[in-house]
Amino acid sequence: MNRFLQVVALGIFAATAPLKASPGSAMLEERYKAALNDMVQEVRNTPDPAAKRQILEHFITHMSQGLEKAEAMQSISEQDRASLHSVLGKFYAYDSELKGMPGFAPVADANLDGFAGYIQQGMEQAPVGGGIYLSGGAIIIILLILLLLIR
Amino acid sequence: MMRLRIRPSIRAVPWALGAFCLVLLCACSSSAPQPGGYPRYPGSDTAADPAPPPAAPPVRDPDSGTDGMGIRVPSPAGDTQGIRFQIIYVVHGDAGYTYYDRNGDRHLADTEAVAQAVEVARGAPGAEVFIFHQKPTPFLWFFRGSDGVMRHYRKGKLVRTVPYDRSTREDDLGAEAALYLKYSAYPVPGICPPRTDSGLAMIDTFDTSLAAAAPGGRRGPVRFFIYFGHEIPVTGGIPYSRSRPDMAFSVASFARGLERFGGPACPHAKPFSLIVLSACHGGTPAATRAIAPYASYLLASPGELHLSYLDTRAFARLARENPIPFETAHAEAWGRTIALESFARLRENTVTAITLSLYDTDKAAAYLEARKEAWRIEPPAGKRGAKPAGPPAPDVYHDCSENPSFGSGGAEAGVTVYYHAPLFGADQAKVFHSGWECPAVTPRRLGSAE
Repeated sequence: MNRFLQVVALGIFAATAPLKASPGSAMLEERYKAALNDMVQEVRNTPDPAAKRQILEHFITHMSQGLEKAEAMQSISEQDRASLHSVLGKFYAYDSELKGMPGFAPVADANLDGFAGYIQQGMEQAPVGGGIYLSGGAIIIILLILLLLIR
Repeated sequence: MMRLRIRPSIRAVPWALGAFCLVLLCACSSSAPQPGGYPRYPGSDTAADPAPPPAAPPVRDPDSGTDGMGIRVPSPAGDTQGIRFQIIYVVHGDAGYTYYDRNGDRHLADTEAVAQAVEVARGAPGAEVFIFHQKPTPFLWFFRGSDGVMRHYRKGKLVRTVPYDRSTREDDLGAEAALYLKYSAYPVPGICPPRTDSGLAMIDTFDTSLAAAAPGGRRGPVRFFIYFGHEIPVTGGIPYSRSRPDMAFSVASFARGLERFGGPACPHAKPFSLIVLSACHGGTPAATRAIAPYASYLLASPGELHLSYLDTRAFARLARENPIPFETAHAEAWGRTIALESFARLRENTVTAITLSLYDTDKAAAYLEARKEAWRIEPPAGKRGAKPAGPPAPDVYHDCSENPSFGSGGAEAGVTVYYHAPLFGADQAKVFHSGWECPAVTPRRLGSAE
């Protein structure tokens, strides 16, 4: 009887295939976008332009470091690496523009709020695990690295 | 005589199983979205989801003859008179679609896209509207329920809501097309119509006397197809749906899906008058070429498109105007209206680049065919495990007019371009856009003037 019930229970669980590991990556991606939004709101709520720049620089630096670490991992696929490379390129460009490096018009103090929104929208359009294509396992690892570094 | 003795713990098992089954049943019945389950579309004056029509309550599957709870109901979908338009929405929701607005409020792009589709469906009395929301519904918070939900409207009324499964190796919209063909008031005959005396396709000379599908001809309502989602990959083998990472989806499979819905690409008639592709990089040469056989006009974003998406609510207003006959010029005018309203809305909400292109697909396909060498460039293959060649570049795509011999695109190529430069970034001074974006094979160097 016991064995029969075990078989029935196993059958029920087998018949209803569980969802894959997607809830984990979904939760991390949500957290990542929320962190991005927190950064934007923090910039907007900070009156001092120098402090705004510091928040933006901190965020961009940590994102770049996280992406560099993720890109250097041997375990990720070539396709994931290429996707990360393009996102990393975006952050390098944000950094260059914020600092007014050659080829970029420096971001004026009055435009720092807008620049924070520009980073946010750029990432929402090509979010990690969304608009760029990363495998499920890679998303979890990469987002964990990024979130650990952001804060 | 031997008595069968059952231990108390085992005696409790049937009760436990019964309770488990009851919970399963409850979870099943609550898995389909209920009317009122979608939020109001941002900026909309009306509630997004309708109250079900009193005479025709929504049912889970009317063909089963029950309302899902064992009660027989009459089929609510008999009235097909006066349907002149069919609008098919496919909204992908099985990935990350969260975005935040300027106030820091959270939005779900796919849910809002469904809300705008519902608004169109409610506001277009002469239309039959199918809304496919490709979003898995969890079952008991852990197990897979359905992969998506179809909402079917006729003449402004919700007539059925059907959860469905899309467990295939490749997503060519097969599950959605099967439901469409099953429930459509005018299923596609699948035969190319004869050329008319004027050389125009039947679909573009529609009038009310052609309401019934005639043998041998693709006569019927004027069809529109709208897709909301992330960028459709050029090649398969890339995870697109979060809950089904092994299911391939590509531009080619999307084009096959269009054929499943609209019928074959005929030499002088196209299944759809207008296709709206609300996704990043929908306006690449490859995508335009793949979609061209199925639509007279294509509205797409060659560049990145913010998740606040295109605004297609004008479909309801335009359908109410009900032009007879519906000609190719109307499809173009409708495309322009939707492009202009979407462009205005995106300008209010976004600081990134906005590029919308309305393609006259015949002219655009001919232009691209004549310049194949300028856009058909294979990216160099990298070695496994090797770092990508070149420094990281901010742009994976660039304006195709940067490619030698592509030309300037635009009106010459049958493309009307709505472009607004980003407020920041290397392209903030850019004033012209060809209307197409191509994969950037050679990354632009950072820190150098363009």
